[in-house]
Amino acid sequence: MEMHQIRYFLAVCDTLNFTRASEICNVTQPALTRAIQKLEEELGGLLLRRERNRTHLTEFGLVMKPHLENVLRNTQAATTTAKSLLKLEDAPLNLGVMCTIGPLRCVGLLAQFRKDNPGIEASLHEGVPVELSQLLIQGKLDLAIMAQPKGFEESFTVEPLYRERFVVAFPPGHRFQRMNAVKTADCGGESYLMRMNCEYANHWDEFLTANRVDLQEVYRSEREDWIQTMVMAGMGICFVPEFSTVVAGLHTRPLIEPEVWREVSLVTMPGRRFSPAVAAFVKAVRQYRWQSSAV
Amino acid sequence: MSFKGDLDKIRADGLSDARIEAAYKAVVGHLSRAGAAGQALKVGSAMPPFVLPNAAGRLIASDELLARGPLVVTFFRGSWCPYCQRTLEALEEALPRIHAAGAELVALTPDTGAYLPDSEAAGHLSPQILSDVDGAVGLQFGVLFRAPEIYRDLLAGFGDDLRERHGNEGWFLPMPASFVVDRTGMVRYAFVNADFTLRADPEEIVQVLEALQSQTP
Repeated sequence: MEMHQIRYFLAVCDTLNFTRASEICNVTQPALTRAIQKLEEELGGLLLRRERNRTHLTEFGLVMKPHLENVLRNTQAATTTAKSLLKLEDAPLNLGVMCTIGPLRCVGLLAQFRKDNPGIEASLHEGVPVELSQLLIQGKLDLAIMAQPKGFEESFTVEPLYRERFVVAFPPGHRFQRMNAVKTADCGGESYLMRMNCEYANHWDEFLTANRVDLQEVYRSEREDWIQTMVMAGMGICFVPEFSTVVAGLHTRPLIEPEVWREVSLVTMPGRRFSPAVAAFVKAVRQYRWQSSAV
Repeated sequence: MSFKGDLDKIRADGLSDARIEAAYKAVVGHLSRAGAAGQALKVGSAMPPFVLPNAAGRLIASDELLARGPLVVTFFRGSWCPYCQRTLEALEEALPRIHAAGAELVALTPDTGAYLPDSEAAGHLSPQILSDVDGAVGLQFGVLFRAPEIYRDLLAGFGDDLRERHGNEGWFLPMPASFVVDRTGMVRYAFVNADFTLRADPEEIVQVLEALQSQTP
């Protein structure tokens, strides 16, 4: 597989026209066609279908396109980074982190990144996935670390980082403390503190109804620390992702029958070129040894 | 046993399984027909510079390594591959002599994150094992290809799901390849083979480096 073959193929994807693609790539049309045929042979399938007036991607072409884009984008990133390693500070980095991700999750990554790339100035934006998605689209964020129960808009590049189970949080001395795990049905009758910013908030409503669990909702709040402090004060229980507990002394048990999990992912815009700072951070995110909840 | 003898033994054991033999032939046949090895960087060409992370998440820049001396760049498929394992062991053994010749070594794999061999698995070599994310550098070196279906099925059957290891669904792998690059960034030795059971002998790499060292005033 060669770089120019991928470039030519992506140019045809953009234009759906061999003549225009060859102009953009500055090669003759037969050369462009040959290169794409070679790529098709190598990948083991037809990428494009050429009809009289129209060119379109085959199913296989649609499958391969994002992967080929990814390779090429990283190729650019790896070399751009190499050329301007010393100029990383020119490009600030805007990270989005979903507000329900506990700070302990990210601090190791951020500290290591800072140590390895002391020149990069990074700002951290906290928000709910819908906001972060908007900021990503508008280019105000370079990347976001977040989860979405029903998946993301198709237009994003989503790379799963870790899986995390939901636990029940309760104060010391609560009846749940004697259990190894708490069945959903066991939660019936408890006072409930709702984490409004939880990307699963609606999901929880449906979930509890579906499982016929009746809870008394006493307060709802956008703030994780408030909810957890209220739990500590004995005002109720809450459901929270395992790694998102921030209040010391809070007790938790895994929720079972059924279990609830979320998948936290690295989300970027496909096709948008990474600055060296962003490329460095994306690599650090992928390299970081994210720990998933124990099964 | 010798390095080559060990590789021969791994191959003889592996190919005694008809499924492995069929998948092996499919890969080698596919790459040979496409003339894939001929597309790779050749002696006399310039190495594209790169920056990639190691298992500790530290970014390693080829430019920085070249500033210290010649560089050995070797591509391997992953720690799931027995030929790669044996080759990494041999390279680790050869590391003191590579350093004595004033050179550095990096080993690139498309594996990411926790799949990179750590210091427990790869000893002194570990910091020099870099994650070639999405095979981007492999593409620039001309060694990247897509595993044919029969091989993808075989690996998935063994539990070696490259989609998970690579963090993408492309099933791209490098042909095993080793390059020696001099301080100016020019390739002085290249070993690329469509047959993944054949590897550059670290002994040969050391000899190339020693010859380079004797040429340098």
